[in-house]
Amino acid sequence: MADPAEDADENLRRELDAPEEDAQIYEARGDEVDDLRPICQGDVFGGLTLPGFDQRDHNMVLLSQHPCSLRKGAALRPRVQAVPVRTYRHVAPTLWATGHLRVFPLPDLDGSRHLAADLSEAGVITSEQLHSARRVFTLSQRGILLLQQRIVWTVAHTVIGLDVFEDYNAPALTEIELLEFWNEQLCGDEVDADRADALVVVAEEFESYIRDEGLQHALTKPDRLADARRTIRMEAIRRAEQRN
Amino acid sequence: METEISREDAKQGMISQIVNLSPSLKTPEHSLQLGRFALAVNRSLGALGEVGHWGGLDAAPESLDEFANYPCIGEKQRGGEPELSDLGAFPRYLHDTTGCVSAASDGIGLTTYGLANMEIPFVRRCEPSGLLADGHAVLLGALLKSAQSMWIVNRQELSELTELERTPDQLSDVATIGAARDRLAVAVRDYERRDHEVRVEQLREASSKLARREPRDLLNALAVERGLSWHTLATMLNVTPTAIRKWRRGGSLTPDNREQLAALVAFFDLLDDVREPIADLGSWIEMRVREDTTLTPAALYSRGQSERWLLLEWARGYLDTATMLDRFDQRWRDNYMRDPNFVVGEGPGGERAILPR
Repeated sequence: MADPAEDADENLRRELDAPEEDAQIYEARGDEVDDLRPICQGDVFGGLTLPGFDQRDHNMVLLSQHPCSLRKGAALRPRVQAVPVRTYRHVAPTLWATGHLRVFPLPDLDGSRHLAADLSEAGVITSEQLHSARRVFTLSQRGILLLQQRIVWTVAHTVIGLDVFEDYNAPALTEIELLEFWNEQLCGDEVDADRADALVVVAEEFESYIRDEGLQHALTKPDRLADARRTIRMEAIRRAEQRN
Repeated sequence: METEISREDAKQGMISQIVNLSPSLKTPEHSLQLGRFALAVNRSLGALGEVGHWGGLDAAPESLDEFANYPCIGEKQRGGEPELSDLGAFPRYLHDTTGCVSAASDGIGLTTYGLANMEIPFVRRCEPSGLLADGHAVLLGALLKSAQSMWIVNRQELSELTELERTPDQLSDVATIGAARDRLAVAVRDYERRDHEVRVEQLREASSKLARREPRDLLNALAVERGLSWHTLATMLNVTPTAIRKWRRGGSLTPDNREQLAALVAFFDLLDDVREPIADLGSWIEMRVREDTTLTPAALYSRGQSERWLLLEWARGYLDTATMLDRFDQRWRDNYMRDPNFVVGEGPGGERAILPR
């Protein structure tokens, strides 16, 4: 079969994006990972293996499902998509654009170890498995956008600019950020044993509040984002003060 | 007779007086300024060995009343016939004397003397609002004209000064227009530089005051009051999202981070004070500066001090968007180009989707 790349017009060449430095893709690593941050695309969980694989193949998975479809209401869907994470060579930022295109490099995880998520081998994991597993790192907003760009490339051989992903994901990523603030205000003082249950309750309250106040729609409008953030954060503070 | 003086003397004498006088003519104190100006002329003449005397005016008047009550002027105010000699020895240096003009000034009843038909555009240009009475204008015109024609050696300098005071439509000589443009360009650069210095100092002072506040208060000022996202804050401060999380949960900041955080709050306060304030700074800082670029004000701010200044100039309306971006990076159209093929729109089911342009 002919290679489509041979027929491509070189003038239309476009490369994938890369982080400016390794650390830019991470939101938190190891002990920095906080359970007040809602589960999100790009989160890596340890101690999990995708169905159909041997534990010796991998024992970490990366959530590949888009943040928009990760939840139904406030709760995680019963089953979510994930990809295996394996040991991999270090991929320097300069190599992201034109190579290692079917993996999402996870460099410098703890100072010496380099991993990568294999984007060509998706599987399904249950939400119960996620809740009992250990989250070992989370991606930054830029990290999530880079991941999405590589996923689209892997499944459709289409290069979409990060600015488009940024626009598309703004509502979902803003909602994640606001839910984290909401959690901080309303569950920050809970001890670990009670925190998991409390997080479920406040996530439902958050979901009801932004839906009832029409704020979910505001989050899709760039010129109303800041106002929506102000409103939701002030509400979280008000509720926290009320509880105290 | 023309008296030659050195370039240095000219600078310290007449020209500096003219320059100093120019902006002050727009104030209600212009009569007093006029008196001081006349005195300076008088003294310049004296210093050159010429007889310089203006009706006993031998000290700088401290008030309008004092000026009005100088013997000579007071006498004329009371209705005496004006005589050229009342201007002391000065008028004999005027070579185009055609007569005296007496005019009432703005409310103090000061009678002034000048020479008709000697008005120069400079005077009118200084005082377009009409505060300067005709008599003052003519007198000042006469003083300038006489200075120009009789005893300023460096006539070119004075000539350039007066040319600059003309409106562009009054100029017809290409070289003069070019010189005027060059001078104005230099002046604009000087004002811009000074404005920058003053703003930087203003920002530094505001930041150092704000840095005394609790970091959590500063974060709330940006996130809760302004509505910025944590992600944007991390970008603007060049720190990780984890650092921001630690700070908002009471973690300590390095002195440098504390300074940067305070500087960001101060920067937003400065933006509140622009001539035409931006309606919602929290949204504005995250929106692209132009449809065809990925650059946002937040991204520009994160680049450093000079980009912050560009941003401020743009927000204040001194730079248009393309000029601001050109100054940031001549190749911004290539380096920060938006995806030409895809855009966010509405998908088949009405939901948000990524679509071909």
